[in-house]
Amino acid sequence: MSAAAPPIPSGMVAKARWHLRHNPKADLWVAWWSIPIAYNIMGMVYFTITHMMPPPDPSKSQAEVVEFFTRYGFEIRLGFGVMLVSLAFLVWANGLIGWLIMKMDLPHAKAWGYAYMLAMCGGGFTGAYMSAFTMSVASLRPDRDPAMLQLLYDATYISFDGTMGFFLFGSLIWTYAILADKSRLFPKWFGYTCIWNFTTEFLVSPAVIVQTGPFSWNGTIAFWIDTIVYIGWQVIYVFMLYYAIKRVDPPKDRFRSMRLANLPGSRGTSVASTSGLSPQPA
Amino acid sequence: MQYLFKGRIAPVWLGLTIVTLLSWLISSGQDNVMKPDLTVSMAVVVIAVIKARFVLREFMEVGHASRWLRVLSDVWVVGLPPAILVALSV
Amino acid sequence: MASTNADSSLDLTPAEIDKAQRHDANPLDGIWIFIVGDLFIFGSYFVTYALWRNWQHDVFLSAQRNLNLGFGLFNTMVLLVSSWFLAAALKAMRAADWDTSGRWTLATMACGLVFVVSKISEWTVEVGHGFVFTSNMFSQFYFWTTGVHLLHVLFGLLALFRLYLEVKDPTCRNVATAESAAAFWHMVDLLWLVIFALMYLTR
Repeated sequence: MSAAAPPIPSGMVAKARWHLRHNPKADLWVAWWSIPIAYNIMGMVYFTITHMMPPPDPSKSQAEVVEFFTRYGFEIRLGFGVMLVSLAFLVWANGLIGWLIMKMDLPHAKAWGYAYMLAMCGGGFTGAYMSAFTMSVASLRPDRDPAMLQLLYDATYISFDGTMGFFLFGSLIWTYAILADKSRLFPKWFGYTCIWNFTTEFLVSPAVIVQTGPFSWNGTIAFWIDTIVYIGWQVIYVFMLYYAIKRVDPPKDRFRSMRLANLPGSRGTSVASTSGLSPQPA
Repeated sequence: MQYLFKGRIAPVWLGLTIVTLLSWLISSGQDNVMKPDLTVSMAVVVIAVIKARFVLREFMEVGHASRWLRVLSDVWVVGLPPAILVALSV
Repeated sequence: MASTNADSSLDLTPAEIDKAQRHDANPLDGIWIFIVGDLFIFGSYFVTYALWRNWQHDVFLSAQRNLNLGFGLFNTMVLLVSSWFLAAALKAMRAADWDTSGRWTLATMACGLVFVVSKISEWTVEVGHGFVFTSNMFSQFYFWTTGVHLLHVLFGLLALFRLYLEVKDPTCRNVATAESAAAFWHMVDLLWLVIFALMYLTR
């Protein structure tokens, strides 16, 4: 916050405007808020609107699958309509975490930050987008050949569980970064809780092998324990990001560098010194 | 070698080993005939959890740790056998 | 290493800098929260196992014949011995007898490797007899739980290896790291004690 900033006014709108103008971390806070909002939308879509979660029985017969899509057809399309629009919101969250990793004091921090963001994109695509597509496609025409509906049904849940590799390595990167970071942006114990998360990602792997029991995609271990641990970790994670944003140094003179970047001929001077880019040869 | 017999670790290890053999005897006493027996199952679980508490206290030194750790580890030790008993008999 | 923590750009209070320095002395600090979480996550598997055992008691009992109690008992003994050795290594460390401590750490790792080899040969024998992950519900639990446990053993071996390197290096040896690494290894032993009882001994 620059010293010249006026005092924070009262009133919601005025306050928000003040923060957007004068708080150097305003963009980080917007990205932070995207996390609880996006996850709440996701939770609502999965659990209450589309009935995709808790997952139905993997060993459903074709007739039961047809029944499932006929019964919840509208809700599925509505829910995934909402989600396909709002899910990309999480891109901000991943950008935030990726940036925080890059700010950490560890070897090759930038590479790890990009790797994390790529892993999350991969996981988000297979887990959320692919499954949203196959569910919506199946519910669009429930009078299709039942075998095709069953194919889409299986594809939905297998792609949902197919996130495990991406999320596993994403979490692994985050864990490594937190534990190796000498600036201690996140507390070490939080790094260890990330291990729970990647362990639970690993736990869903038998869901592609078996159809019934605790290891199938609706099973006690592969779904319930996994989800409880994941949600618990998610709550800790949102709080930890909050404290990390409080502690991280603010982006240096955000507004000045933005203004300078827009001026013709200014590259290589102020922008380079504020953003860390190497000056371009004249 | 001297460190192996320093303090309580050697008697604790010996006790854990003897108790392990004991639980093996309890379980396979009937010539490896697989007869359902809730008493045997619960006996071996309780023995295992008691062994676990000795590992926690003597090897992991939870006794000297902060309060939340002592409480949570004891919640685990005390809570697990009844939970398993309920699961095995409902 | 410690002085680099006092990074002025982070704007830390002296108390925070001090805390960060103390944390940095032990790369495994905070592992207790992981250990407690792991105990409870495993606890929930154990209860799930007991429930399915109750529901499919006959299947579980007949499937248990495929296990080799000898292997199970041997593996338990190996881990108990390893815990004893590691406790001795810690005692030596506290007495600042680093060479002896390093030797006991190596002995612990040797036990861990014996466990890995023995576990893998046990699986090989079982799979050779046609007892595989998808055979029945018991085999799913068995291969899954012992597999996740073996993963813990491998991580534990890595932690011990790191500890061994630190013990060998006079500039970064410290008892706090050793205590954390040891706590993790003992947890691996502790979980095996319960897994052994549940998988091999319950009737």
